[in-house]
Amino acid sequence: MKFTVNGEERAVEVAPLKRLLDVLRDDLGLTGTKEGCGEGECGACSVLVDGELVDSCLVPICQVEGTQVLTVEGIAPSGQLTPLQRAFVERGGAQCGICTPGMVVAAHCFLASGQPATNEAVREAIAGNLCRCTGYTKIVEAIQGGAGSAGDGRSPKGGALEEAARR
Amino acid sequence: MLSISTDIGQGTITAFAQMAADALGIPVDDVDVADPDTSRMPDSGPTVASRTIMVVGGTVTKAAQAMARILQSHAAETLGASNVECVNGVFRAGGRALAPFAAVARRYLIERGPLVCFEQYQHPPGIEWDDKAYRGDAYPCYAWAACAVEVEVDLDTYEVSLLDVLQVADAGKAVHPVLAEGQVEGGTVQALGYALLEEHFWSAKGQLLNTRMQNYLIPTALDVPVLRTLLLENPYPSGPYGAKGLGELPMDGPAPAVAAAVLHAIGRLVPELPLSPDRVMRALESAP
Repeated sequence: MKFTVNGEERAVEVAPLKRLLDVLRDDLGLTGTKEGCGEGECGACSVLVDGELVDSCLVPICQVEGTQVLTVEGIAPSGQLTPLQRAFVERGGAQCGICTPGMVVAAHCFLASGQPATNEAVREAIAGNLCRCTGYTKIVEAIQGGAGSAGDGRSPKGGALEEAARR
Repeated sequence: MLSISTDIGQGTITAFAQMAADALGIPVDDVDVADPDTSRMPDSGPTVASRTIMVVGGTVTKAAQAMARILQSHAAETLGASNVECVNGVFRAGGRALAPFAAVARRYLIERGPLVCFEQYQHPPGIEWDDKAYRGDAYPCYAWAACAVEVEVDLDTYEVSLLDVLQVADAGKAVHPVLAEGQVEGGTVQALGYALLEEHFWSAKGQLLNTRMQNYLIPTALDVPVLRTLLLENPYPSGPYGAKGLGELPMDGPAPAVAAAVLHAIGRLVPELPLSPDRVMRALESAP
């Protein structure tokens, strides 16, 4: 099966019903995508297939033949962070991190849509991504920060709080 | 910095680095918090019970302070100065910079060998616990929180919606305000799930029946509003920088607050959690 992952053409020889999640993690070594529940409820395994947000635990590999898949590793070049990712770091959008790759992919998809990043719209966009650690407030703030800020994604509030930690 | 306290996302690595760095007068990035390894680190106790910052962090701080005193006196001796203090990674005296921390530390290592400071937690004076008789003060201090919620009850579907949630928490000292807020907010939403969504169903033999994310429901981003969090700081004198425990505190208030808000809204107490639509309906339809 041939398909593009994070801009690179890949080919795998696996059973056609093998989950995309397992192909990404085991065959392609892209372990950024996580398994939270294996039943399409938690969104930790979220990836984009041809720009559409899906739970990769529910996608058989035969379904992605010829498509473009984007995982969390493909959001930014290695070693760099997008304004969205910087905002997650600085605003406490990640605690244990297990939901974070899926959240970032879902948020990336939402921000790419160009919709205004209102509280309601952002929450709708991440409704399929469960988080047990953060209570969502800082995740929503991070996504709004990723939308609103240019450059390195810093906000005055984030900067002041980071400064407090480093005093 | 060697302890077996485990960062599971709550920010232990960051907070410990801050506390050690502050005591030593060095940049926070210069503190390496080693991965927990019980084969080479002392028993810091489990990562539970809201104790990590207050108890273990307090012990980290004392060890770092002990190290700071030793290095200060070594610096004073070797640099021929008095009232030496390390500020932002540089030893200073009389308003002048004398030597970087790394240089002083390296000289200590060469002249006296490795410097290891070990500290063990002690209860503050006046707090006594007899573990055999199980009597005394089990805890040296308490942390406090208050939670207020505004709800809306749909009288057709009996669903309870959360309009506004505020939690005020006093943790003595928020070592890292963003991480502290994160603990309050995460605990608040867990407790709101407990109030409205989460329920166990058991078989006659005591087996849990709803074991999947599909049938044990936890809050999504749509189930809770933007949370408002206020951190108060009434310092605990024997806590590091005044800090008390925080991790479990936010769980206490929200569910009772939701039940009280629903009582206020519909005039009936729904006496069981979660406040599911069927329970709200039964409360409304039962005799007053």
